[in-house]
Amino acid sequence: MAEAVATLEAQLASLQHQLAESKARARSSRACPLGRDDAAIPEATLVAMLQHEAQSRLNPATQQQYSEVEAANGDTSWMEVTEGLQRATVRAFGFGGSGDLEEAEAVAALRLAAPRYPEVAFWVRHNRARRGELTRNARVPAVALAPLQWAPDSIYPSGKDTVALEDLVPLDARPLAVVALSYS
Amino acid sequence: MLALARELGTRADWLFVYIAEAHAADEWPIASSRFNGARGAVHLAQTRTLASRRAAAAAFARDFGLLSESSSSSSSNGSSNSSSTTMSGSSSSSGGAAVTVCVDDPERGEPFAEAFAPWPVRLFVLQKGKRGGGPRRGNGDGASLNDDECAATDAAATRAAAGAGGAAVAEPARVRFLSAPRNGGFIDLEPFADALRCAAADPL
Repeated sequence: MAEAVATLEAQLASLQHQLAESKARARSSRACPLGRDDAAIPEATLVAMLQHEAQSRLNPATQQQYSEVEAANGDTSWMEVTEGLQRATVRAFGFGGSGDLEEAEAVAALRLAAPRYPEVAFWVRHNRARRGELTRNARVPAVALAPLQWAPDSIYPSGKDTVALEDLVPLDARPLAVVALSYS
Repeated sequence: MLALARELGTRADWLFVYIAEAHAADEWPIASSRFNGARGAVHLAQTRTLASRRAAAAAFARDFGLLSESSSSSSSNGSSNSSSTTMSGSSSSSGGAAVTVCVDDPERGEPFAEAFAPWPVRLFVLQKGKRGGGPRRGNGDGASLNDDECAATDAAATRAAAGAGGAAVAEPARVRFLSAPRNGGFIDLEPFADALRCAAADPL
């Protein structure tokens, strides 16, 4: 009986090891089809491509394209322009010549490389987007906000340079719609 | 957004919180002029002082008609300075709705951004209740509730309050809705609008 248990435990351990290896291979193949994991695109090339992309994004002609496509207020946005310059970038480095799939894979590798080099990829470095800790039905966090400018007839105490967010929520159970944004 | 404010009138208050620039000219420029009409592309440096952020917020509020002005000043691309902008105050009304504009103070470590993770744009519905029985509104996943569902939710909350003694006790403000964090793409206003309509449907 003890031998049988030991055999089963050994078999289980072997299977778990195989499963872990299989998962690791799957993760690797998904992570970067042409990138660092299988070294199809050398890391130095990826960095050079990112530098090219960074310059392209800041190029006045690109900025003009951004402006024009955004001015149209259509379904197309600056992100399609960016995708176009990423495709142009990988083509400039010799990828994509043999078909769309290779180009798409090279673009994917380029995008996956960007978070590794935030000092080059300013769109990563300055991306503040995050999910945050707040959840539905959570108590509103105690946050102080700075009003634009107090009016003489303001309902809030004059002389204070902040107002508590909670104090802006109506007491009579009407909702407060909060829109957080910037001009750009 | 303004259409929704007009639709709801006094049944909801509005707060605009001006946060860090999404695409500052000195960080991640995209020269966007979307929704900016004849004012053209927006070229604003990141606002790192309270004064500069207030100036940007004031220009935004003026250009998009959030607040009434006591004196006019023009802005072609969102740029402004504190001395050139004179608003009547931080609170105003739009179609009867109370509108307040505040900024997330960069000199205080952007406490709103820290707590709400709003960048680059995010929508919330906050509400205080006077009933017991927990949250009054929403189904927890952003899907909208129709009027009947709103009424049923309120009825359940009222029953729960009655069972707990029935006294209407002020509850702390809670987050009734928050839009999904956004990283590119257009923001979907519908879940926000539905949640706000629902929360405003039967105020106490």
